[in-house]
Amino acid sequence: MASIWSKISLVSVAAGLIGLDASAVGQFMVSRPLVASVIVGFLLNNPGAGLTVGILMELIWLGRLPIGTSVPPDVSTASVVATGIAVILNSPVAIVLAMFVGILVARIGGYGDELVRHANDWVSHMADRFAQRGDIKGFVRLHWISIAFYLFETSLLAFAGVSLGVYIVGSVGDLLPVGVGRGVGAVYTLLLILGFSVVLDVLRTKGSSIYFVLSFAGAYVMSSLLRVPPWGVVLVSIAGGIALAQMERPAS
Amino acid sequence: MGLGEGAQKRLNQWDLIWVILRSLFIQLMWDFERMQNAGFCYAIAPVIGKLYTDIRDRREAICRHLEHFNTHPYMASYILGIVIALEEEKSAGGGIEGAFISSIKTSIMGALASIGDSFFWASLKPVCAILGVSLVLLSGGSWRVAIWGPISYLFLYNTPHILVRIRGVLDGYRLGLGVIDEIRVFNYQRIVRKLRIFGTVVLGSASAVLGGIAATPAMPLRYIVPIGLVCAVVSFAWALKRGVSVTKLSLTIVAGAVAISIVAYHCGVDLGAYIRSWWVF
Repeated sequence: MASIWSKISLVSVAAGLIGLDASAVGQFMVSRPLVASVIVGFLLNNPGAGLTVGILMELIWLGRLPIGTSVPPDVSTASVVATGIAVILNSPVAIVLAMFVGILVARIGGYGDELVRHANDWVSHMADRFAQRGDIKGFVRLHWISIAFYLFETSLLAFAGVSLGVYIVGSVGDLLPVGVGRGVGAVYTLLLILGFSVVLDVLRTKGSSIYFVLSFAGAYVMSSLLRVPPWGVVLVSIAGGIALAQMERPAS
Repeated sequence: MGLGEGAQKRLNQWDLIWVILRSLFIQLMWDFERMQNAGFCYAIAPVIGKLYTDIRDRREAICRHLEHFNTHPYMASYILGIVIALEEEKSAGGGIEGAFISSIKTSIMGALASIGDSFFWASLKPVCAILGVSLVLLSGGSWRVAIWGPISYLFLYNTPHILVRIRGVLDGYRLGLGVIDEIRVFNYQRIVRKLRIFGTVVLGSASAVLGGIAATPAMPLRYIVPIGLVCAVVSFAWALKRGVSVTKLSLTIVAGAVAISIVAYHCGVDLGAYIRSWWVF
């Protein structure tokens, strides 16, 4: 049991640090699911699980953009939590159910972010007081308060998410017969397709659907009729994509 | 405009580098009332401290930069650069009003935000993500190969990101308001369209490859797979366009998947034999 709790604590601390990149510091995309999950996967000594969770969480959340004052779901904590649960329980059913928990955590995390940003209203008023005194050093020190808020919020959420998630997913997984696991795992592919649709939706621009259909048909012909290996198909499509983008006239 | 010309240069390269590093924290104290105000002020604080030695001037400058401010976090560097140039001129007695600096900030932050949102969030990020995910899908189950997906994602995305962060402050400071012409000439909108078309082409072929990987030899009527795949992608995309939330859609899929698997199991059908799940581990 001790090792489970140490793993959960490790994941929570990692969630706090990774979460800082998402909301507060840098936005280097270290907090994107594809990267965050892999980091947690490495920490828990199972990068493969991190990748499996990561690609899926990455794709399905691509459509939510932090534009203006809208606060998007907390995707980074969600994928950290999902990876944590998946690695700790380590079974095909667990990975799909862990993503279910992760999606819920993303929603809750969004509210958590909002809460921190309301707390920042108070920090901002403190900043006014330092400004009135012309005290730059005091004002700069306020940053640590804000960092502490974010760290605390995401770590707490991750801790609760992973410990509850391991318990719930573990119990549900035990209820299901082993054979069901293979079926559930198979539908992982369906979620990937949903992810691809999200990207298609995000990238939608005037007259772009024809490019999607053409590229799909071309790739299918190449791989099934011409027996080109998958990496060859993707390389050709990257080259083709660059060429088509170069030929494109600016939209009037 | 020739801002800063003639005025004595009191800032050096290191002050600007310090501002660039601090601009990484621009989102940190984001609040609903005045948004990035404290972050902006934090980034520019060392410059204020160096330029204004009189406590009253300093107080006025800090209060000026604690006013409401919100833009794209990367594009804020351009505004930082411009404002540094203006503050330097003001502190040297260049006859610039504080209100003028504030009005410059508020008048260009909206335009820069929309450029940043459409270029970084809505184009570069999805394109880099689909490239990274394709690499992972192609890895054939070896994480040592698949790890290049996230690595290339970070590299491809952050190259333009870091460039904008650095050049924004440096060019903004050097050119002053002239930097707006530089952004206009660069024509982000055209690059956005090119990026999106490139991403759509890669996405199309990645979907086809995924279909090929997903269907096992036991799958009956294999030619149905590509048609089904296109239908699935298009119908999901249609639902998203109609405003169905991705959270609901994915939760439904997971719940439906578990239900279908249980039914299939009790009917003695092994779904895993027909659709291959893609696992790294």
